Amino acid sequence: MTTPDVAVIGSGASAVAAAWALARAGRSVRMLDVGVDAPPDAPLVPMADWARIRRTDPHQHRFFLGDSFEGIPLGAARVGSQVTPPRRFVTRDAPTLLPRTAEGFVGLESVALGGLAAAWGAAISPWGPRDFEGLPISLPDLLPHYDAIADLIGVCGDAGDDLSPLMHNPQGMMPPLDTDPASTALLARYHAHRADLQRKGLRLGRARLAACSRIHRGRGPHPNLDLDFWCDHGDAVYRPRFTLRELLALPNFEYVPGVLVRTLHPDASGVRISLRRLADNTAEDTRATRVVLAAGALGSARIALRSLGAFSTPVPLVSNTSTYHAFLNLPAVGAPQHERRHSLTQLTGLFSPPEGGPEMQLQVYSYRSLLTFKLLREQPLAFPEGKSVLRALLPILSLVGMHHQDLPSPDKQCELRAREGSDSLHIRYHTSPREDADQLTAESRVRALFRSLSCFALRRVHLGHGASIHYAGTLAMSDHPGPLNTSPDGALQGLPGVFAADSSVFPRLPARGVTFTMMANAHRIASLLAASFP
Amino acid sequence: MTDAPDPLIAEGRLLTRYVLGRSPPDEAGPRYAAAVRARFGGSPLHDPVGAAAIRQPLFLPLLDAASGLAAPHSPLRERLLIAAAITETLPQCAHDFMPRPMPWPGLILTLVLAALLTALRLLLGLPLFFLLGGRWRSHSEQPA
Ligand SMILES: Cc1cc2nc3c(=O)[nH]c(=O)nc-3n(C[C@H](O)[C@H](O)[C@H](O)COP(=O)(O)OP(=O)(O)OC[C@H]3O[C@@H](n4cnc5c(N)ncnc54)[C@H](O)[C@@H]3O)c2cc1C
Repeated sequence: MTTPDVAVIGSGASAVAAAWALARAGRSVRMLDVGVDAPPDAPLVPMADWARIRRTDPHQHRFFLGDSFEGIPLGAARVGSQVTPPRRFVTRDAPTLLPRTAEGFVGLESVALGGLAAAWGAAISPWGPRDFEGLPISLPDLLPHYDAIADLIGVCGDAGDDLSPLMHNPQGMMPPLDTDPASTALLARYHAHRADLQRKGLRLGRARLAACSRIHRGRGPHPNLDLDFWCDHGDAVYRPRFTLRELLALPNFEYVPGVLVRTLHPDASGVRISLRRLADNTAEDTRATRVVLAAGALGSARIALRSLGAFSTPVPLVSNTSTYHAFLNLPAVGAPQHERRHSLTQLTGLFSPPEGGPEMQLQVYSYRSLLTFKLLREQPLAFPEGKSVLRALLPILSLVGMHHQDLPSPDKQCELRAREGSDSLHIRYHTSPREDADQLTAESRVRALFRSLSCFALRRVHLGHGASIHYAGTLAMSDHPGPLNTSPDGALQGLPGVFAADSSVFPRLPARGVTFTMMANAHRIASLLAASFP
Repeated sequence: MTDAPDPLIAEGRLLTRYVLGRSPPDEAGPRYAAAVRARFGGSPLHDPVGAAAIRQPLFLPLLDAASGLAAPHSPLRERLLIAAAITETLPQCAHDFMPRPMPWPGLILTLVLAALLTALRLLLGLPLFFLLGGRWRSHSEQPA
């Protein structure tokens, strides 16, 4: 095996973004990945709309419930409930290969081909200038990379809506997907009151999505079959495997699945990479001139801490607090229904208290394609009454995810703990009473604004810290990097030749989703790295 | 010699018929039994409340309503959830679970009827639930 210029660890959203920039710049790239994939005999979801499948397909239980009925959620609601049976491979084997213990933290990790984004909701929210406060980079540094990633993954949204003044609209943004009837009614109501609502800090617009509303790079257009939680018809909603497919067409790119990277050992001629081949559980070494760590904020921290022998050394961890609120959206009563729809976020909202204070991001969904029975366990009525009430309320139910910023603190940390012959990541994550109180206050202000739109909150659900599945901060970048920090170009202190490109480098998380910005930053770091070769 | 009927299939037929409000297709019972075996290892309901609901189907709506309030993750409610999942994913029954948009009068009527029925069922169901030894916020069987 020849030594590649760069080994990229992982095949998730950050890894493929970095690999793309490197390979396109002419560097030879080898991607090392565990790469669990869907079983080849997984049942296929037919190409028909959701309602038609429901009425006609005798095998629908195989993908809706799973062959082991694992899609029936029993017990209390848990993180990752949107990860449906056809996407369960995304979290398979992660608990055994990436052992973790935690206090006050629930979370998901992935060792899948494409990582967590093989199941993500594809909502993108470019960060605003304020979101870069405290970072050694600023929005202008990322703008060209937002555009490059938008071209790579395909994004859609409404460039003329009320979110546009606060969000960079990437070049080539496609028109938005249609909203469903409940969200259309809510948006119309917002427009009727927008001046007042904006004065009070609330802006709503159609969701920016990593989805193709028309044909782009051979993908799309989105078929509007309401099956986005179950399959990738038309390849319209972005998954990292689509970039991997493009990468594999390049002669200077190679994908090596089935390996778990353990440690990195920089030396005079590059980096020696120690890994475990999972098929036969053998240890092996390989080499690269440079290494890009893109194994997820937690996965990359494991590899870095282990490589430096930094056991029981705490590093920061941040994760957006997310809560979900069910609203009765009364403007939608009696709205005509249609089958053409998508299942992803319909609307995005930004709430900034007019007197100042952290921004909060809202994601508005409707509930239909995840099936009615899952909501039956969340309601207190007998099943037959619960069913008829839910059927009547579903067309006017809006689920609003409220996402808060997160800042580092001594109570939010993780450390690698040695165990016989192995190790495990221990997470300790506790918010302060002040943070909790501020978040509750912001949420109740948004609920009051929604009331003025005739949307009434029924219930708030908080699945626990970490349930947002947005993690960062473990190898934070800094202008004055110390041990276990990264410099603005991603270089990891203490491990020369190793660069971090995933969300581990963000010291704090604004309320806006991290993935699009993480991909843009991975592209930036990889472009700098590519240019640094003689 | 005939095989003894599978009690889980019988339980499945009863619960799916109850959730659906009419007879379910034949495959509902065996599929319910397969699901319970996969998720709980497979014995019929045996806690006092669940067993009473199966033995005496007249009690089922009363104990379901009472458990919904008093013990939402009780074995009976978890089995009803499995029955609902099985019926919802049968094409012949899917329609019974689909969203049903309605104008204001229909919506209000549906809510009022459900509230009245629930009040009635709770009135009878809660005493029965506690009489049978049901406990406030008792927990579910451990999923396999
Ligand atoms: C259901 C769901 C919905 C979501 N919705 C959104 C959304 O709408 N918007 C948004 O912004 N974000 C969303 N997210 C979060 C988003 O998916 C993640 O932020 C993103 O995918 C993280 O990508 P990553 O590259 O950092 O790493 P990961 O996705 O964690 O991938 C890690 C990769 O590294 C590999 N790996 C790990 N350790 C090793 C090792 N030791 N050796 C070799 N390979 C290794 C894995 O195989 C995997 O390929 C969602 C996530 C989920 C699960």
